[in-house]
Amino acid sequence: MNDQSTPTVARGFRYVGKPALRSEAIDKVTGTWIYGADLALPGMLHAKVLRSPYPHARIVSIDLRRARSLSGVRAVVTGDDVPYLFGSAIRDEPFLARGKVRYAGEPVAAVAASSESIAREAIDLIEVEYAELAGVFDPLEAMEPGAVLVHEDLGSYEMEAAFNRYPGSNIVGHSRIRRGDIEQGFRESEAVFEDVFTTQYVQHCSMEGHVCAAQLAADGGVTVWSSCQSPYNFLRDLAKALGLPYSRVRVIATGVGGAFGAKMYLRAEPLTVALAMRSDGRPVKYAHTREEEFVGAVVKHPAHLTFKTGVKRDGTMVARKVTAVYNTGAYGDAGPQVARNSAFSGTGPYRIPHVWIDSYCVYTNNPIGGAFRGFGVPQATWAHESQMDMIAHRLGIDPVEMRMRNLLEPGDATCTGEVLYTSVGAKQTLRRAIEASGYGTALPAASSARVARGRGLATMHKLTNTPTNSTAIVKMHQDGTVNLVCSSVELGQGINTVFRQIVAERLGIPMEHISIGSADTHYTPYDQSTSGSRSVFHMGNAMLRAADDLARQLCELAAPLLDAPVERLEFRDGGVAQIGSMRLIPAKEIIERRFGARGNTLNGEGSFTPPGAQPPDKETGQSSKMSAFWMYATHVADVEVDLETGKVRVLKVVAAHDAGTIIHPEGAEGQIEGGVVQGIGATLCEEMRVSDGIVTNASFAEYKIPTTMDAPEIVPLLVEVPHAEGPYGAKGLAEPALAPTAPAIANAIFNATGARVTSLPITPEKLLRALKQAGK
Amino acid sequence: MPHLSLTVNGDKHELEVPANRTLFALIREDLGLVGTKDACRQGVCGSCTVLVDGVPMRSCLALAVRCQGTHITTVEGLKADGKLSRLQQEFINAGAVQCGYCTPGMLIMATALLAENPRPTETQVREALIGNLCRCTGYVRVVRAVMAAAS
Repeated sequence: MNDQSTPTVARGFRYVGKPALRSEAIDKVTGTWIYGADLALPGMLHAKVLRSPYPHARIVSIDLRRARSLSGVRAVVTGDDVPYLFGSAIRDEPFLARGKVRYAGEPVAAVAASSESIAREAIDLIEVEYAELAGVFDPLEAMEPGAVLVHEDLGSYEMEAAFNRYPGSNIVGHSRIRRGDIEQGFRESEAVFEDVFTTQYVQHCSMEGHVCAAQLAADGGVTVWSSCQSPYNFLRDLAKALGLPYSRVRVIATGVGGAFGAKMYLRAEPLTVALAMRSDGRPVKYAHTREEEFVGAVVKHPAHLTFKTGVKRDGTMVARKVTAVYNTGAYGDAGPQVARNSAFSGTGPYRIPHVWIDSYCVYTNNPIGGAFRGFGVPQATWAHESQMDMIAHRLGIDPVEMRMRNLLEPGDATCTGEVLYTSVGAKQTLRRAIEASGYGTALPAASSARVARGRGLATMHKLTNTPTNSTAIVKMHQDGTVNLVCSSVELGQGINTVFRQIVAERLGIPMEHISIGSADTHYTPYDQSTSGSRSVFHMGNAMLRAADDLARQLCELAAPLLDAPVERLEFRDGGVAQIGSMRLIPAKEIIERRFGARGNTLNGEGSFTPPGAQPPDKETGQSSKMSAFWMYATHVADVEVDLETGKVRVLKVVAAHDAGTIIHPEGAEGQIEGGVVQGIGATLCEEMRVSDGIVTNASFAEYKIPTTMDAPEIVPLLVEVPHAEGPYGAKGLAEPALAPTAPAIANAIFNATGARVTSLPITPEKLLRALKQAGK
Repeated sequence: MPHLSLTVNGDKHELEVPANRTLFALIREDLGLVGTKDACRQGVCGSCTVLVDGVPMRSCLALAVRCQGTHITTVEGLKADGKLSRLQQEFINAGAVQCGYCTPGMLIMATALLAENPRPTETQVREALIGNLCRCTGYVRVVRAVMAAAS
């Protein structure tokens, strides 16, 4: 197989692949970058929310009188005041609970007051009478006929046509993949293995929680400031819910202190808008407390994954049947998409001719499952990479050999029927990770006999949401400097810097002459969302097109100045020249000579939607082009297991990622390092515990995310297999960074001890049980 | 209301504050210094850490009235003579900043560490920052930045 990898340095770029100062780094180290939590508007009111203590209950009555009469209270709302539904794939969620509550933590009433403390006091004065209802908490039970229904009206909700739902049940999403002949596949297999894997509730724990402000606008519309990933998702979902023209909903993105998927869809905004509608034009700000982040924001879907896999004795994979159940809690939010996305990765990055996948998204009376970095793929990766090592062990095949035998190459088809033709770096990531980790050589001996050391690996792939659009404006001022205008949001992932690099490369102007603002849907053009690892590819391409459009305009303006036909002109190094000529007129001079000293601005516009995309068939999940690009990654983890306590320490993670051409290497490495540590948290220490619908560890003191002392040595490896359609060959990176970590650690624990844990997180208790079973 | 006088980033302030007002609220709301970050309000995450007479303190747990006569440094006060501090510069150089929400607390904590121990080992840096949570970076470059500032 030819290695398509070419080091960036060999390609003669001036800005792409080179070190660059992060655009907003100075603001962030001096405390002047303004986040949603820092928002202060003239006349601003503060909101607090009364949330249900019961997971499933009828609201009998709400007494607001004492709250309304408290001095300083400006507005009090309940669900009956705002009879609207919102949602993304399915519009099933009220602004505040109406008639009944479906999870403990659901907003029941909200107050806007002149101070946070008055709003809090008013909340305490609201009296609600509930009649408790039987709840359903286990997603497998929720799928049974006769189960308690979370939504009696499932059939009445507006839902995207791409999804299957079953009114009269709790199944709000069902995605299928049908490829080959599954029964024939199992008949042709020489060994068939069935294993069950589970994952837990994980909260995003962005350091800044959900926060927004809303204000009625003079045109009868509404303005929303939000710490958000997706200004245009918010605009669409709010406009649809409120019945407003899109042009009268204005969403302004603030600085964002971490998102990881949690800020992709409306969450704090609807009830804040409801309060703003009753606050005489004053803005209302609402910030989740940390406790609300746990109980009332969104969480990563717990999944129950049954994998049945047929193989030849040499390890060749023949057939796989998957039944996946995603617990989406009380409302759909991103659930149907998450469950579907997980199905698309059910085979992992491997060639399997016969595939049958059912992925269900199921309502329960639990907190809401939402988008979480990886969008269902980390759950699928946990299952397919754990089972890969289990099968290799059962067959007596080396785990690397087993993977190499089956990994996708150019010309192979995914389980969704897409023939891959460009940037298929799965094998390269495996090779690089193996080499760099010393896989196959012995680990340094442990310090004590009660400690066992081991090494494990995992490989994965992920698609991006396709087709989606990004549009950009590259605006040049008369002095030749440039503003980038777009609705992508800087979440910390560094895209503001990457876009400046891309445009600097294309126009040949210094990065210092390019600045970038933030999203405001009144002024910045459409972008589907800052999610799905899509921004560098989609918005990067839009930026290139916008830069080209600007360059074309400058060539046309320069033609009379150079006395040459426009076809003979080119834009380079910040100016226009005749092709092959040394004489170059700088952009500044062109604008000044054509428009005079009073000047003008020139706007280059570029819009990008990946060509050739085909939505998957609803019955079979098959598509000739499912994704604009596929990302690949392999992690190798070295671990140490204390055989007496069951405690696991991760010593080192080597993380090789194929993200196409890397635009900003330091930022890319930082994404990988952060992802790996999130992955370690989700593997070993993080679990939001939910007991009969009640969250029992809703604080940073009780829900432990990794600290400096938990983070091991991390070796990020950038495997650059350029993508034919990517900007300078780039694709995406952010989500895969945490996905292979969990199975790599589980496989390393097995390598160290012979004990296998199939349920996340791998707590000392579970591992001690597994060690006992393994006879240790 | 109790009267309070204190110095913040070199500026003297005379204020009337309720006895139950936190130092956190005083800094962010009364003085408008929003570089001190709001993340858990339970003293667990370290985002609101400031220096009180050179000692790092979780401002969300400190009552303002207990800070009578103290000198407080927030992230806005780390620059000297209009220039970034060595730590601020190394955080940028090392790529230790992603979303940046934990960064002010990290910088304050690391400033206190280096004032007390100018040549810490990597383990000492990690121990000093154990109470400052970050969800973006995996801490790799944060630790690297502090080590670089100490070298």
